[in-house]
Amino acid sequence: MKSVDPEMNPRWNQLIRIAQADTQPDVDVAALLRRVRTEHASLERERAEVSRAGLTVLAETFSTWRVASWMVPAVCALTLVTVWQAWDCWQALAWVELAGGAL
Amino acid sequence: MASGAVRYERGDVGDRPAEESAVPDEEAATGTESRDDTTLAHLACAGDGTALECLVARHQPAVTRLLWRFARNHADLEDLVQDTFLRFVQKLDTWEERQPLRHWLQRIATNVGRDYFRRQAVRRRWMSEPAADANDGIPAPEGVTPGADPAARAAANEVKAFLAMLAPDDRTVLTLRYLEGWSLGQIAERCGWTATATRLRAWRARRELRHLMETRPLS
Repeated sequence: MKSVDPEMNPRWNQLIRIAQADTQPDVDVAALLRRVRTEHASLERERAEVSRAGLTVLAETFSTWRVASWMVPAVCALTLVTVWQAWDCWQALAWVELAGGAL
Repeated sequence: MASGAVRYERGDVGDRPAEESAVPDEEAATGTESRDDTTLAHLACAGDGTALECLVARHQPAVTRLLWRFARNHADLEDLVQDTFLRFVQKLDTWEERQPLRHWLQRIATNVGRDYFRRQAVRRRWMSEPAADANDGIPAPEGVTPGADPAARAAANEVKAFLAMLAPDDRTVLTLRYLEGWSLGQIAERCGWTATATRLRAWRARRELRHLMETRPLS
């Protein structure tokens, strides 16, 4: 340990050397572990609640009536546009034109 | 992190039988105790209470020893140790693996100690009269407890009484420097200060301490 400080009083340095040998009293480890266990359990409970609350919000957002009201029309519109575009591309292919314009 | 983590064996859990017996019984069966800090921390984050208790039991002696440098008596020491481990539990999921868990815990303990010094400074400001003793408003020192060396305890109490007259952060620097024997680099790292700020603080604290010694000689 760095205990000697040349800038300080020699008596202070001596006192520090003796003081460093002081040992700590015992703490109640069983009580500490109990407290830690309780805190950990309460944190875990809180986290579970937060996660459950998050799932609830998710479930509400994507509930059946919402899916029916906006997701189904959206999917239909998307499918229509995709099919139309695919058909357009198909018609533009050179070998399709050679074959008479359509199959 | 895995490479930087410190591996501990059973002997490091504590050198007193009372502390070893505090390690949960199930550990023997699961082998939790022999795992390194990183593995235990991951298990604890995933909700494994036994892993968490093993970590606490493993690091409690070192944390207690460090906090004893800050505490004035046994009751305060118990509170500080408990505060440290509660913060540890609450923040464990924010621990970055690149720094050893032991250093991270020392950092938490140092912050708990600094808060303790700040609370004392505030209490002293509100309680003491201008002419009162500089140690008014801070807890009474601990007497000699079983197993303690009376001379060492008396010397530690005198050193702590002198350091208590300094500003909280100055007191922290000199407590860690003199009683714990840390280098200024270690103090800077654990307190989250820059090296220059720490050096300056230590220099100012020492100058203040020398000034105090002129007005109040050592016994």
